[in-house]
Parts: sequence; structure tokens; C-alpha cells
Amino acid sequence: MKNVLFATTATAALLVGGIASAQGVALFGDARLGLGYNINNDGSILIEDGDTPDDLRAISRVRFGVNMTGETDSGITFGATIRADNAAGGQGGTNGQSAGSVFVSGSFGTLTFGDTNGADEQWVGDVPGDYSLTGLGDLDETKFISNGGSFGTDTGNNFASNPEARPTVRYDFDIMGFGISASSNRDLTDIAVGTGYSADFGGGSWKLGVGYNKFDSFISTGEAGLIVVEDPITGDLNVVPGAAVDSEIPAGEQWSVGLGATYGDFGFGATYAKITSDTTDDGDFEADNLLLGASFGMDAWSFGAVYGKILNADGILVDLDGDDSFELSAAYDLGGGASVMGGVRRTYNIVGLGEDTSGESAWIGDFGISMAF
Amino acid sequence: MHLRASATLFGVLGLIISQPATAQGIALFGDARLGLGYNIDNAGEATGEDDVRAISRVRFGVSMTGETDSGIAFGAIIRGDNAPRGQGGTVGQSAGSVFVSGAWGSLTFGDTNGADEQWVGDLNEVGLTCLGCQNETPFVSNGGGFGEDEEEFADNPLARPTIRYDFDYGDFGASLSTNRDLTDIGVGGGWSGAVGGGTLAIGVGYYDYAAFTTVGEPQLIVVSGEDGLAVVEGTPVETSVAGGTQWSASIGGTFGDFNGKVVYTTADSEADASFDLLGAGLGATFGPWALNAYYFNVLNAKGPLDPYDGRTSYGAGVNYDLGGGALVRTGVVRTYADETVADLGISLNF
Repeated sequence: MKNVLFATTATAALLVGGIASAQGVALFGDARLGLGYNINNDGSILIEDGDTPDDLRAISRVRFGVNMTGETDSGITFGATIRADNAAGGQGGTNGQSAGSVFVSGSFGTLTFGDTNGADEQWVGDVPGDYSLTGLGDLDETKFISNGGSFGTDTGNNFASNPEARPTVRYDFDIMGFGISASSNRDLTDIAVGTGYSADFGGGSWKLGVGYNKFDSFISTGEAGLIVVEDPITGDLNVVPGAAVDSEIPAGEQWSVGLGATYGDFGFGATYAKITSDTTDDGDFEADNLLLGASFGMDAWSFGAVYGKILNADGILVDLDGDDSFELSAAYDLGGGASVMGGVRRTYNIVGLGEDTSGESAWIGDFGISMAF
Repeated sequence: MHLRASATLFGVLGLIISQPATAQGIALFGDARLGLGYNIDNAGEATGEDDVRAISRVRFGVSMTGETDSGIAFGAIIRGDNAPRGQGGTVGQSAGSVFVSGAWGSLTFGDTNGADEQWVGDLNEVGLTCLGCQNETPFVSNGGGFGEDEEEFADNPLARPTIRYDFDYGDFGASLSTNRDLTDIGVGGGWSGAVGGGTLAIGVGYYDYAAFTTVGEPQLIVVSGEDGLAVVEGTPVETSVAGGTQWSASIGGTFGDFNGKVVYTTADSEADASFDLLGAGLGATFGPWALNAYYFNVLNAKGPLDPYDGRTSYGAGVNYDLGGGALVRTGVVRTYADETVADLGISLNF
């Protein structure tokens, strides 16, 4: 009843604001507030002077954006989405669109450009079980080279950041429950394919996905370090920001497979990804990674657990060999778009953390309220 | 005609699909201004150039609200131009704010008042641009800024997000606040009520702050490059500010068409820096006309703030309400730095 009343009121509003609404520009927003332990505001691990500082701090953010949709005379739908804080990345400047996405969709399939999944990520995806406030470094996300080398669409955890991975270009097609995707990167040098199938089986709903990505070598741009220079006139020493550190990631390929199932209030998923590379001046690498996730819902409560293990890492990634990480989290749905969320995570060994040359792991955590509008 | 009909149909469909987002209450807001400024930049800060220039701006944002099943209200607000600082990156949210509110009080995170500023507040604003906003009481809890603008005397990059908890009891209210790293403690309280045909408000605030580092502009330095000497940007200049305490109090009232307020604040740091400020503001409204004036005197300033010792800032302004959200505004201010600045124009609210 309330919904109908609202829709009627909204229709009246639509007639007043006819032009903007008819074109289908809808606002969305989210916010969160809480406390974080040993994390930055975005949930990434906080390291000071080579260690986690036992830091407790206020964590908060507010974001909004627009979803825009339209339809051609012949029935082709099109649309785009962008957050305000990413507006500059959506516009793309000279480099390319690194945030938001744009799509065209018809009976021929869907074509998407921008900060969107590669074909392999689209079908293999991530695992369930993360109910932390900030994502705590997004352990639940499978690491795809097609995703600019980062864990998901965030900037929290780049292991092989490719500044020119975006815009991703992806083409999706569905037939009889089977789906197929193909994707490439900005320079059209990579080829990724993904496919999957979902079905109800044994009282649950199952989905299986497989992905393959053949990627070209790229230059990963790290943080700019500080360097000391001498003033040629006075001889004083000054500290200035140096150039960003570039390293060449060799060409290679990534295979990935994901399996997920939902049985009533239980959900679980597993992904496996294997990367092998050619060689460059920096060397080659081979690594494979397993992620397991599980979730359980009970009334307004949700509980989750995620475990990740780097089964094998050789070459320039040898420091990661055998590392593992886990996360436990829970959420309580307050209704109306608000949830209390919190999690703790034991991180992978972070290179540069502690005295061990291959790094050490650390505890991080968060707690607070997330809001969707 | 046909076009409009199909467009409306599409809009209705789109609305039904995206209803949850709309139903939760995202409202757009906007403001704009245009006019002329004397001796100021576009933000209203003194330039010292004694010129007259065109000043204008346009801004928009969203105000978002929701309610849980048990009746707890929550919401957030952010302007489009501040969107990256609302998202906060790794450092923390330095713009916009997020709140949760129930019978137990309100909790607010973000670019929001410290507990002392919440109850002591500022004096009457003048002009189109607020002309440097020196009508605002300087609170250390406010990231060292005079209000929410760029006039900073001890910029603390890690002051935000401020966390504040407010509680009201009848005519009394109290607040507690801290900073991002939870190292500061702010307390504020006040009373407001009817007195002799008008309303009176009294506020008191206390802020105990830990040492912080202010980050200034990067210095330009000379380096030896491939083609001879080159000038490059160095690292930003960092200055340590010692911890300390700030007390503040105000009393203000509105009687008929007139309002007035007196503010006093005193701050001491462990490094022998201190300041005392006394100010008074007055306002009057006659139909669409509003007159405002303020006067601040730095009674005493020591240590690094010594150049401010004995300085004053004062200003006066006139507003005329055109209705519909538009006001003609003009003002003249004599700043702490003995610059005369002025502006004239129209402010618009949407």
C-alpha cells in the first residue's frame, strides 16, 4: 500500500521533473561509520615504521553517484554508472576511463566498458563470507590480473597494479543458462574468456565458472619514494618526492575456476586461480591460490568465514609461497538499509612487515554501521 | 507528444525498478553565488591586491536519510565537489558527515563540529563570501580552522573525521567529541530557554588536544638537473604543534527583531603558546532586510601566535531577501592582518 502511494507520488514528481527523470538518472548513496584496528580508512592494512602500530581509529565515509539508463528506438538499452568521488576517473582524461562503467545491451548480448570485471572475473568471481565494515583488504576477492592486478575494484590491495588495465572491454552473451564472456584491456593486447553454468541440484542452487586470461606484459607503477638531493648552490640537503617506481610485469596467462552453492541459509564458495608468466629482466613467476568462503544467515544475523592460501609461488613471487590468511565476520541487519558489521582478519604475510624478509602477518579488525540509501 | 508519452512510461518503469534507492530518501541540494569582490579571491580570502574582480561559484550535493526497523534514524551528507574527501581514501573522511540518531542521542562522524564548537559557536556572518569568515571562533577541535573553510591557524590534517556524541535533556544539552586517532577529548554543554520575552542561549566548551603536526605548502627547492639547475617542488613543510587545552564560552539571545552574542575563548599549549579571544556580534532584521556585525579582539597571544597579539577583526553586512532562495548580500571586513575587504552580490539556494 505504501509502495503504491509512493509510486503515485513519484509519478507526480516525474511529471514535474519530466526531462531529467524520463532520461533515467537515478541517485544512489552509501555511508559508514565505526572504528578500525590497524587499518586505514579504506580497510587496507596500516603499516608504520615496518610494523602494525596497535592503532585504533575512527573510520567513516560517505559516497554517492548516479545510475543512468536509456533505450533506443529499436529497443537497445544503454546506461552508465559513476560515483561522484570517482567522477574524474569516469571522465578518463587522456589515459582512459578507470572508474564507473558504460554499457550497451540488446539481443546480441551486452558490451561493457570501464571499471568492470574481466571475462574470467565475471564468471569465477569471489567467495561469500565477508561481513566486515570495510572489507579488511578484501580477502574474499580472487586476484585477477584482468582486474588491474588488484583485489576487486578497490585500491586497497594491488599486487600487480596495471595502470592501463582500464577501461576493461567486456562482451557477455547468455544462452539456456550458459553464459560466455570475452574481454580485453585498453590497448587490446590481452584476451580473456569466461563461461559458467548455474543449476538447482540436490536441494541447493549451484554455479560453476571457469576463466582464462592471456595477458601481455605491462608496467606496474608503485608509490613514489622520497629522495635526498643536494642544493647545488648552498650545499644544503633537501628531501623531495622521487619519480614513481616502475617495474615490468612479464606477459603470461591466468586460469581460474570457481564453484559456489546456496542451501537455504547456508552459502559457500571456492575459487582457484593459477598464474604463470614468461620472463623479463625482473624474472618470471608461477603462483596458484585457493580461496574458501562460507556464510550462514539466521534471522537478522549473518556470519561468515573466509580462508585463503597461496598454495605455491615461485620466481619473483617466491616470498608469498605458502602464505595464508583468514577472516571471521558477522553482521546484524537493522532494516531500512542499515547494518551493524564487524570482522577480524589475520593477514597474509606482508612483505616489509616485521623482521622476516618474506614478511609477517598481522591482525586487523573493524566494527561499525554501514548504510545504503 | 508521442515522445513524451513513451518517455513518461519509461520513467515510471525505471522508477518501479529502482524504487528501493529512491524510497530511502536521497535529496539533492545546491547553492550558487555571483557578484563582485574587492581585495579578495573567489573564496573570500584577502589577496592584498586591492582589485575588484568577478566572484562566483556553484555547488551541489546530496542529503541522504533512512530509518531502521526499530526507529533509529541514520543519514549522511556530502557535496559533489567534496566527494573524494567524503570517501576519505586511506587517510580518513575530511568532508561531509554521517550520523546515527535515536532516543539515546546522536553520533556523528566526519567534517562536523567538535563538542566545544557545537555549543559555543560563532558570531554573525557578513557579506556574500563571508569575507574570510573571521566571524568564526577559532577552535582547535575544528582542525585548526576558523569554521569549515580554508582559514587555518593550526591545520591538523588528522583532526577529521571528528566523532561527536550529542545528548539533549529538556532545555539542556551536552556533547562529547574526539578526533580520528581518538587522542583528543572535547566536552560541551549549554542551556537555552525563554527569558523576558526573548530566548537566551548559553554554551560552554572544553577541548584537551594531543600534539599534532601541521602540513604546510611544499617549498620550492633548487636541484641540479640534466640541463643545468632546475626548480622542483620539495616535500611539504611540517611543523609540530604541542598539545594543550582550550576553554570557550558564549552567551547569546534573540529579542524580537534583534539578536546578539558574546564569545570568549582561551587556549594554552604545553609549548607556551597561548591565545585569548573576546568577540561580540549583533544582528537585526526589518522585513526583508537583515543587518549583521561582528567584532573579535585577540586579547593576548604568545609563542608562535605572538604576531596576533592585540589584533582585531571586525565587519558589517547587509542582506536583502528577494524570496525564493535568493538574497542580495554585501559586506565590509577589516581583517586580523589589517586588510580591508568587501563584496557585493546575490546568493542562491536551491
